[in-house]
Amino acid sequence: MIEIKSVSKTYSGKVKAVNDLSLIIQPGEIIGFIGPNGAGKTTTIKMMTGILRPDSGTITLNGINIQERPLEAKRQFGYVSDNPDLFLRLKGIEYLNFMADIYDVPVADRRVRIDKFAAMFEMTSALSDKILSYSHGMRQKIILMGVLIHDPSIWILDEPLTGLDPQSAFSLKEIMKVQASLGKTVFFSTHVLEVAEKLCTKVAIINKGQILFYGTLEELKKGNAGKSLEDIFLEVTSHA
Amino acid sequence: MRSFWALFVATLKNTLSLVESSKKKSIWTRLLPAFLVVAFIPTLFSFYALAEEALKLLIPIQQSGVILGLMLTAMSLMIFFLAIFLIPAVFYFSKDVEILLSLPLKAHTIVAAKLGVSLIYEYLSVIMIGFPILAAYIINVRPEPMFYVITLVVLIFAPLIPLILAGLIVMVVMAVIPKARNRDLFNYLSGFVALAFAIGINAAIGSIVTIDSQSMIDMLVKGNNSLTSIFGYLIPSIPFAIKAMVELSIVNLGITLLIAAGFVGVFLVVSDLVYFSTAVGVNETGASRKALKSKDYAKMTLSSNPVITYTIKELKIMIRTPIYLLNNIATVFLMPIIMMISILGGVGSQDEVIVMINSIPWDDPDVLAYVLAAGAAIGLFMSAINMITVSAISREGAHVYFMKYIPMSYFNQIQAKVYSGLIISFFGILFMLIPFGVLLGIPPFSLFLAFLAAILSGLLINYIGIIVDMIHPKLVWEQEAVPVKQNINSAFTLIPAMGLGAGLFFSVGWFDQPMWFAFTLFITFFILDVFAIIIAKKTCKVAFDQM
Repeated sequence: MIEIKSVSKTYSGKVKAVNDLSLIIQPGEIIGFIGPNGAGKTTTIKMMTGILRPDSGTITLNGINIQERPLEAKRQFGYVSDNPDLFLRLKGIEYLNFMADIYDVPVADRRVRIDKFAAMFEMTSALSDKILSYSHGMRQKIILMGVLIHDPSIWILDEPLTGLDPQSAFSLKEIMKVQASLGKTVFFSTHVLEVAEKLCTKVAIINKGQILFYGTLEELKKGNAGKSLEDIFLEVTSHA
Repeated sequence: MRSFWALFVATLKNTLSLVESSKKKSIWTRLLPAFLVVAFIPTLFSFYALAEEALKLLIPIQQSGVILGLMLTAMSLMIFFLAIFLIPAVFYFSKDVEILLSLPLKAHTIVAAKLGVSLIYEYLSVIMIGFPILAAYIINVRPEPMFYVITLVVLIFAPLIPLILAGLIVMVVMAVIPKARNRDLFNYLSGFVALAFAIGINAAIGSIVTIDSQSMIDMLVKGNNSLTSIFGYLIPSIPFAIKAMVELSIVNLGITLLIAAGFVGVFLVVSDLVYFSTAVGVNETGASRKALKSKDYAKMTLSSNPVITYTIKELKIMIRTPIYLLNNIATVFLMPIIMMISILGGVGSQDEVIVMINSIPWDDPDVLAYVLAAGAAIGLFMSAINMITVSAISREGAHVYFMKYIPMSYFNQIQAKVYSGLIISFFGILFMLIPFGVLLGIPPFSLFLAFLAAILSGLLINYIGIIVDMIHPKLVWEQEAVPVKQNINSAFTLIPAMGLGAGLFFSVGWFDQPMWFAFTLFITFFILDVFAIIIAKKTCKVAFDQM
């Protein structure tokens, strides 16, 4: 469960990136975080993961306040950033084992998960090579595998589908659904409205640092009969 | 021609990073050219002095032209050597070939523009050799006006041939050996060859100091003849260019220009055949795409303590990143070699020094105090020179956020970074202490105490380094070289290390009993280390919150 209460963040004392934002995400939900460029999506995600400290408000992950008990809170989630160019000089297998060590994953578990996800993402033959030799999509996959290896109860993903081939994107979406069905929380930002439409139990639309809508797609479409999600999104964000 | 000129200017600006010239520059960036000029003045002057000295010997025997021959040969040698590394960087690893190929440009235009940029680079590189030697020649020989015209033409066109020769070799190698099309491999090779070259120069300068005048004349004349004959085969224009300059011969100048034009023609034809097909799809690094063997897989998936695994990760990244391997690690191992070559070079010719070293009573407590001071100074120096901890946060660059979202305390993470620095410092200290200890005949126990002093002082510098880099990290960069080569932070460990190291030797005299010096040294460094660790721990939270 993720609980964000009245969180605000201002950059350089001038630019209000996030303004009094509140969200409660229950276990088992897949939340699509949608908004135009510069709306405050990444800032919100960075505050949720402890990368940025909010100016005000609180964020709790499975009931643990990330500002007060950061290490415990960080064990609750797995985070995939929008930039997969991480530790390029490590080999794929070394990166996965490094992540497993950081998150104290038992040897037997890490091996089962590496095998399973490497096969799922067609990465088995690439694990012995340096990440530097990977394509953008492969880098995205190895970062995803680094998150999946510690089986987090909360997933926080920033544009996770960018660069993935159709098969891998499908696999990721399936994993998201399975994880949600197991009671885990999935929170991801996206620009692709179709993905949000097909995958999410709820969507949160953000613009200029404020949540404009948070609810199910049915609730969003209510009163907008016949309109596409794209039209509704444009209408909602234009009124911000 | 217009497209060539536009591409040439754009490539040159891009390669020399002139595109940022409109942005606001810091005072350091503005002063950099001035610093560079000042830094090179001693080198330029020493070349001038050397040439003048040689000319004083050569003018009376009417052999002053030898110096021009040597200059041209040395310049060609240097151009060829630099081009072996410059051509791959400009032609293969500049990441722009695929973009350029999609533009409406002729293949020849692209190759010619890249060749032009390489040539500009070469001019800038060899000006340091050519300018002082030519100045010495002009001042001492006072040649005819025609000399200036011919020399100018020769110097403009002469660098083309060794450059193209290197280019042809590189293109053929890249075409025949696909593994050579690997940026990492190239960076490793070029870096190590450059270091070996630097050490070689250092050794050569050391051995040239004591040469007498007759040997100097013999060496110059013989050296000129032998070098010219060797390069006469490889770079056929050299003998004609030398004749053109010395005899002011227009015919020889014409032959030089014809040879240069011929080389350009061959280069364009060969590049048409092999360049574009091999330049596209150059790799950043090697990849096998083979599944791991079960034995390797089992070994690579064992669990380990997070701090240990983090330390190993730091070391692996440093060793596998060519620029970090050369700047952070190789310097530590090469420094003792360079110092040993310099010292042995000097000692070999001065028997009194050997006698003096042999007469040092190493068991004397007074001497032991100096050995300990030297040990601590070595610890300071070898830890500062590797710049590992002082750039540890900066090297993370835009990915520093990773440190903030993993469930590992900031202090444990910086501890791992310090350990990686300490491990390299440890080897550096050993590499410095053991050979010098054996060479000077220092007793093992004294050497052991010196080693302990070095570890304590090295610990201090490593923690100071991480504190400095936490407070003021250089995180915004695109090239891996920036956090280690353009990072002012290293001054905050190098300068105190030098100052403290020198201070240690002076402070030996303050103590009546050498034992008191030893006791004070160990206790002081121990206390300073504990303080540095406490400050590092306190700095963590505040510093990372601001990153």
